[in-house]
Amino acid sequence: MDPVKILKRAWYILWSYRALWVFGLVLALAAGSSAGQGSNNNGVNYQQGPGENPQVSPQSLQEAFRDFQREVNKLFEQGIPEIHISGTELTTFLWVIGAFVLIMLIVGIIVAIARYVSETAVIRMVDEYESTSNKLTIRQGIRFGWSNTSWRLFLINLIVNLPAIALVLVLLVAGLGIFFSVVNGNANFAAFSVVSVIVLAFISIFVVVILTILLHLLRNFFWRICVLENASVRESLQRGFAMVLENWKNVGLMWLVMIGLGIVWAVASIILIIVTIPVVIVTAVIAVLVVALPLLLLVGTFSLFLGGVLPWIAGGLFVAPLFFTLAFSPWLLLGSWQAVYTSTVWTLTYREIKALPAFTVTPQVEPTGD
Amino acid sequence: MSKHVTDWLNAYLDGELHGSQLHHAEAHLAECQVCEAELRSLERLSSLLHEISAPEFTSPERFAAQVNLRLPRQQTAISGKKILEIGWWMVPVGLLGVWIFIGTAFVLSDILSAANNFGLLSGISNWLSFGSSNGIYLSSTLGQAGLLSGNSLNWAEATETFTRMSLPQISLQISIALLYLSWIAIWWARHTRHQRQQHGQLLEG
Repeated sequence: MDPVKILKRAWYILWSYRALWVFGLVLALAAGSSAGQGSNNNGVNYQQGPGENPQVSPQSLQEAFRDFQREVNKLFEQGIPEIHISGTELTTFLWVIGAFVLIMLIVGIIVAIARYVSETAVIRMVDEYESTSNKLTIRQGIRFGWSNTSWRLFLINLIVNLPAIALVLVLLVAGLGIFFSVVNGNANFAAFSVVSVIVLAFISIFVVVILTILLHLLRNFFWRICVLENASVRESLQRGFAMVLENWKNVGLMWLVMIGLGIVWAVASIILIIVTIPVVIVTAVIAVLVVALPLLLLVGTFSLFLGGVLPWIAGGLFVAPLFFTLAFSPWLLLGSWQAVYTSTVWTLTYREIKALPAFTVTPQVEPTGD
Repeated sequence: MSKHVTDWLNAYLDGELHGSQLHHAEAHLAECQVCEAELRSLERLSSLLHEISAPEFTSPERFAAQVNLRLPRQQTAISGKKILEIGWWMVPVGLLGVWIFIGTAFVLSDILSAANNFGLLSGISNWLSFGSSNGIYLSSTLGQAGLLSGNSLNWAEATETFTRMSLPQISLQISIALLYLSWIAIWWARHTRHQRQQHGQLLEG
C-alpha cells in the first residue's frame, strides 16, 4: 500500500467531486456543534495566587450557596427595576429560554441524523466513484445515505465512544460526590487519599484517551465494512478488528501520516481563518440581512408578553444559530473539505487493504541457505 | 477429394462454422478418413480437458511473493539495522505518547485547580503547591520600581500570569508537533526515494 498515492488520489477526488462538499458541510456542522460540548483545554488554570483570596472552606461554600439562592429568589420576585423588568417577565423569559433549549435539542438531533446520513453518503459515493468512475448527484447521495446503515453507524460510534462516556460519567459522579460531601461537612480527606485519587484519575484518563484514539482509528474500518459490505454492527466490529489486526502495519502507517496531516491542517486552518476574515465579514453582513426579518418578527411576538430589552435578547437567542452558520460559512467550507478529505482517504485505504492479496502460501521447499 | 480441412476442425468442433464453410467441412469429413481421425482426436482431447479442473490463475504479485518465499533467506539475528528501523517507527508513537501524557497532566491540573477553587482540597492544597506557580514577580518588581502603575500594571500582571500558565503547555505542544512533522517529512522523502528506485529498477528490468 502506498499512502502517498492514496493521499494524492483523495486530493484529486476532493476537488473533482463537488457533490461531496455538501455532505462535508453537514459533517463540519455536526463536528462544530459537538466540539463545543467537549473540554477545551486551553491551558489556563483558574488558580488563586497566594494571599489573593482566602481558602474556600466548606462553611463558606454553604453560605455562598444560600446567598446565591436568596439572590435568585429576590431576582424573580422583584425583577430588575433599573431596566423596568418585572419578576413575572423574568419568569416568562426563563420559559422562553427553556423553549429555546428544547428547539436546540431537536435541531441537535436533526443535525446528528444528517451527520450519519452524510457519513454513509460520502463513503458510498467515493467507493462508487472508484469502482465505476461514476459521479453521483446530491440527490443520489442522500438516497444512498438515508438507510438503516446510518443508524448502524450511529450505534458503532456510540460503542466506540463508550470508554470516554464512561470515564466522564465516573469523573462527574465522583466529583459531585466529593463536592457534596465537602459542602455537607461529611468528608475530611487525608493527603494520602487525595494523592491516590489524583494518581488513579491520571492513569484512568491516560488509558481512556489512548483507548479512545485506537477505537477511533478502528471506527474508520468498522464504518466502511458496515456501509460498503452492508454488515451488521457486530459483524462490522469483528471484521473491522480482524482487518486492522491483519494489516496493522499499513493501517498504522496511514494513521501516523494522517496525524501528521492533521497537524499540518491545524496550522493551515489558522492561517486560512485569518486570511478569510474579510470574506467572513461579508458573509456576516449577508447573515445580518437574512436574519433581520425573522428577528423582527420574533421580537414583535415576544413583545406581547415580555418587556424592556428581553424581547430583543430572546429574539437574538433564537436567530443566533442561523446567523452564526451563515456568517461563518466560509470556515464551515474549510471544515467540509477537511471532513471529505479525511473520509475519502480512509475509504481509499480500506479499498487498498481489501485489494491486497492474502499471502498465505507456505513454502513447500525448505530453503537450503546456500 | 478436395483439400484437407484440418485448419477448420477446431472451429467446427466449437460450432463456429456457418454456411458454405460448414457445408464444405461436413462434405469433406464424410469422405476423408485423415480429417475424420483428426476430428476424433480433437474431440478426445477436448473431453479430457473438460474433465480436468481449471488451474488456479496466479496474479503476478502473488507469483512474485511465492518466488520470494522460496528464495533462501539470510540466517541473521536482529541486526543493528533492524533495531534502527524499529526505533525509527517508535519515534512518532513515542511522540504521541508524550503528547497524550502532557495533555492528561494539564487536564488533571485544570480539574485540581477547579477543585481547589471550590475548596475541595482545603488544607492540603499548600503542599500540592497550588497557587504558587502563577507568581507575578516581574510585574510586581516593575510596579515596585515605579515603572508600571494603575491599568498598565494590571495588564502586565494579567499578561504575565497568562504567559506563565500557558506558555509551557503551548511550547511543549508546538515542540512535539514540530518533531512529529519533521519525522513525517523525513518519511515522505525516504518513501519518495524508495518509489523512484523501484520505478528505475522496473524500467531497467
